[in-house]
Amino acid sequence: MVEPGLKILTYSLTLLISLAASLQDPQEDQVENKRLIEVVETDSIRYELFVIEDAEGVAREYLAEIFTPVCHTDKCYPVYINFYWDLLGNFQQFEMPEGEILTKLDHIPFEEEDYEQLEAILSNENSILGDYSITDLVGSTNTAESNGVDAVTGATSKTIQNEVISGAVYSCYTLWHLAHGNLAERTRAHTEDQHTDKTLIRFLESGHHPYQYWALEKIQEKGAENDPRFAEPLLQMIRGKNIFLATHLLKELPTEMFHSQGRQAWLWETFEESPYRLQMHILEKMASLELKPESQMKLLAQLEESNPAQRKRLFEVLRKQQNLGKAQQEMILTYLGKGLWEQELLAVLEIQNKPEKEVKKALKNNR
Amino acid sequence: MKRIILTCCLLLGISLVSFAQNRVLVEAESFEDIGGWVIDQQSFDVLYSSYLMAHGMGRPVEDARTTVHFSEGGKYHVWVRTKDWAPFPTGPGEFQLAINEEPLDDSFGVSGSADWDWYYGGQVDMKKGENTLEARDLTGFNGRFDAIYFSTEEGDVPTNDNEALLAFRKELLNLTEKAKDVGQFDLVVVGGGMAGTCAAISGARMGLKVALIQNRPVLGGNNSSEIRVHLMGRVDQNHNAKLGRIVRELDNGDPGNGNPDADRYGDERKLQIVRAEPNISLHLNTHVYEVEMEDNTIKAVIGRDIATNQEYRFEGVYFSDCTGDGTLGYLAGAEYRMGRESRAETGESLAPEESDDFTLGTSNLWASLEREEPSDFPETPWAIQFSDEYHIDDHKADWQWETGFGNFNTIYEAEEIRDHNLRAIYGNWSYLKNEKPEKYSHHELAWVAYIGGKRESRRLMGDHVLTQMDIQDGIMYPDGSVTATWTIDLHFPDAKNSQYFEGEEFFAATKHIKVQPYTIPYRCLYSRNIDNLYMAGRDISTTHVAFGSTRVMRTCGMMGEAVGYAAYVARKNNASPREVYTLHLNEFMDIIESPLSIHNLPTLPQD
Repeated sequence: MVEPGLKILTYSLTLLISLAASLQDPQEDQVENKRLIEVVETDSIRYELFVIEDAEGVAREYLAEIFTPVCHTDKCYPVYINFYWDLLGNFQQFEMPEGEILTKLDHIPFEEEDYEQLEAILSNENSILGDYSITDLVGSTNTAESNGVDAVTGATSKTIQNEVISGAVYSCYTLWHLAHGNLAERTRAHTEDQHTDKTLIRFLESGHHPYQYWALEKIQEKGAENDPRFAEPLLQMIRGKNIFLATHLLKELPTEMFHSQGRQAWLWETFEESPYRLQMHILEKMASLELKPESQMKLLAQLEESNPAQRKRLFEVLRKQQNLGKAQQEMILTYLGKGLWEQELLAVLEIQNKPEKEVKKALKNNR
Repeated sequence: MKRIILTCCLLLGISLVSFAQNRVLVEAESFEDIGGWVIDQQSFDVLYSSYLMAHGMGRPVEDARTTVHFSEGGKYHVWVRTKDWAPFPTGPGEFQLAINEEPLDDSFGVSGSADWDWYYGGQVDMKKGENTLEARDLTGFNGRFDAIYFSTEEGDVPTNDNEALLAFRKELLNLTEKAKDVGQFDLVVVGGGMAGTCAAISGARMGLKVALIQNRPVLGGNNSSEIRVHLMGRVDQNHNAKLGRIVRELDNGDPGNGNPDADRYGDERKLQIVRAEPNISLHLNTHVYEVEMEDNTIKAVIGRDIATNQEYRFEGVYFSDCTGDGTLGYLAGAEYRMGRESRAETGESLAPEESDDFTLGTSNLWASLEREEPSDFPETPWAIQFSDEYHIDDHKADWQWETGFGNFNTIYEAEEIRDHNLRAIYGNWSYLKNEKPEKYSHHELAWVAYIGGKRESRRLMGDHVLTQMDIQDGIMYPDGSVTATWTIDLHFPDAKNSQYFEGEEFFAATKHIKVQPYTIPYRCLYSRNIDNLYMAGRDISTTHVAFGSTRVMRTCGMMGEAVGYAAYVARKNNASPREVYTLHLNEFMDIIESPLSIHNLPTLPQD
């Protein structure tokens, strides 16, 4: 028979352990797997490149544990640093390995703000660090005029100050080129090589626009936009928060995707909840579609709701619709009866393949 | 028989008069109390009028109020001249008009159409005598109106043709014969930016009787607190020692671009320096829009007060176009260019293959400040839309926020440019406030310019046209006067901004081409075909490429100084600006080369 004391002890211990376990960082539940894919060692750099995968083996990002000497004239000092890229080689962030620091010339350690500035510099794809040689930049930081413009780069002194850390120009230069050079290319190439259709779907749904554009490109290469697995996530992005992506998709998706009544209804629903500019792009797309009767009705009804610029677009769409149904033609006649948009509406009626009797009469009266 | 006919005619005449309609026109800018509204005159050269605008950065501004006298009471139809400035689909500039405390049924400014038009407000009972009008802003987002028209006759809508409308305004405001003669001057300087202000001070200190006419309530132009561009170009590299002193006096230190602290730009300093000159007759809030010519000589200019619409006439011996836009030159028929010349035409390596109408853009700077408390900013569906993929992550603007580039005309589409800039600013700010609260929750818009800071308009042609080769080869002409130091700094649309907003870019990039200090010939500072016209500032005689370097404000200020000295030499010798070069160049060069403040030349007698 177990002593009550021991029972209580065991019970409490179990409780404590499970409590501790649940308080652990939730990320650690997903066992992140660091899978080595490449090791390189030259006289200027040594790195180990990993792909970070989640518990299900899905690649999430790339990590390089880097050792590189930063040299100027004849002095070199070692830098140990970890770089992270997303799956398409876009630099995400850096980390200092345990116990390592960065230093400026004369071994002055980086301050917190220097690390922050370095983060900003490395994240800037368009840095001047990419446009000039190291000798030019060093010359610039020494002579940039306070009130004007630099001798070599032609940038104002303010721009140069923002893009390098004084006393650490060499580090900035070396590290920036590491973040945006061959190594980044390697990661992207790896993803290109390894991706599957599942990757593409995941990318489309990721909300991360570099992934989304890239996935669309791959899908377009296969001509698979209307493949049901891809079509849904593609269409969803038109309703997403990123108006640039939505606009791009509207332009790129083939018109065959919008032939069906279902898709056209979906498109009109999207119109109703979209910002103005996207609405105009949707109308532009509709001008290349043969609209089903329900969509025709929606457009005609929208005429009354729109401002002059949008109405103009609506007429452009209507002028392409040669097969308006009876109800639609009657609606146009009703507008004409109210004296609205005579010129534009008559132009629409003129091109009808199957004009109703009333329409023929109206056209005759207006010749 | 004759008497009967006469009596009939008389009776007919009387009845015609009594059946005549009663009409009253009220200009918005003439409201007695404009409250929190502002007067925008930047479209004057298109609309021939200013208008009131509610520039509240999203907070409704205080009502504008006025009283109007009606000689006859009764039922009047009322129209408001207004527009929807952001019809995407409808804009935010909504306002109400209240007559004798009663608001009209419909609000204005949200029609979905961007054309200036007369919008019907219904019929109202007006009292004989005094009636009150109130303009009530509803959103703080730039609603605007130009005028209010009352008529007892139905359907009596005024025209929208701006020139015909000008005649109509003059008729109803009794402006036709009433341009007040201000006087006769040795030098009439039109434009009170850095160039104009320096020209006026320079001429005045040499003893000239000077009129300085500026179309804003403050001096300084782009360097005033209304636009907040800092002074660039150096004054310490001068080949000619005398130049740069007046610029230094006016220089209030460098606050950067778009600093939220208005005082840093030294409006008061500039005004006080000008007011201390007894020879300067200063006229603020006056926009010059007409000239009187005698063959190729300007006899007088007519300016209109941007608020009261009172017209003023200034006669002068010499005139200086410091308007930036080259307005005076244009009105006088001076030769000018606008846009880029082709490489074939100028031989400049930086010129484009083909000539075009591309000009540098116009900026509306803005700044936010971090506060103790968090704040909201509304969604702005009518503004430009951004996303995480593209937006401009900054708490204030610098020079890059710029619209124009041949997409919009700097002069005739100034309103569209400003409105486009506002839609970029508010749309971007709305994105930052609503989607990046971790960074911007406590930031609040502190200042947004409502007057655009223009860079490039017309360039008036002189006896010499400064080119890229003049600059890069450092040619020292005998009349080299102002020393310029700025790079050839030609803006173009930022590549990423172009990617997302082709044809309507609002963000710029540049490439600075460094120069050694060089001099601008005096012959670039007077018109080649108008006999008594000087120019100083961004409208002098250069190619587009060379303009990229001469355009900065300390350099422009020194041009003004030079013009003042030249006008003195001309006046003293009864010479034309050109004759100062052909006959009196040594006298002019002596003055500007002299390091001494005192020189052995008599000042002109004052009358």
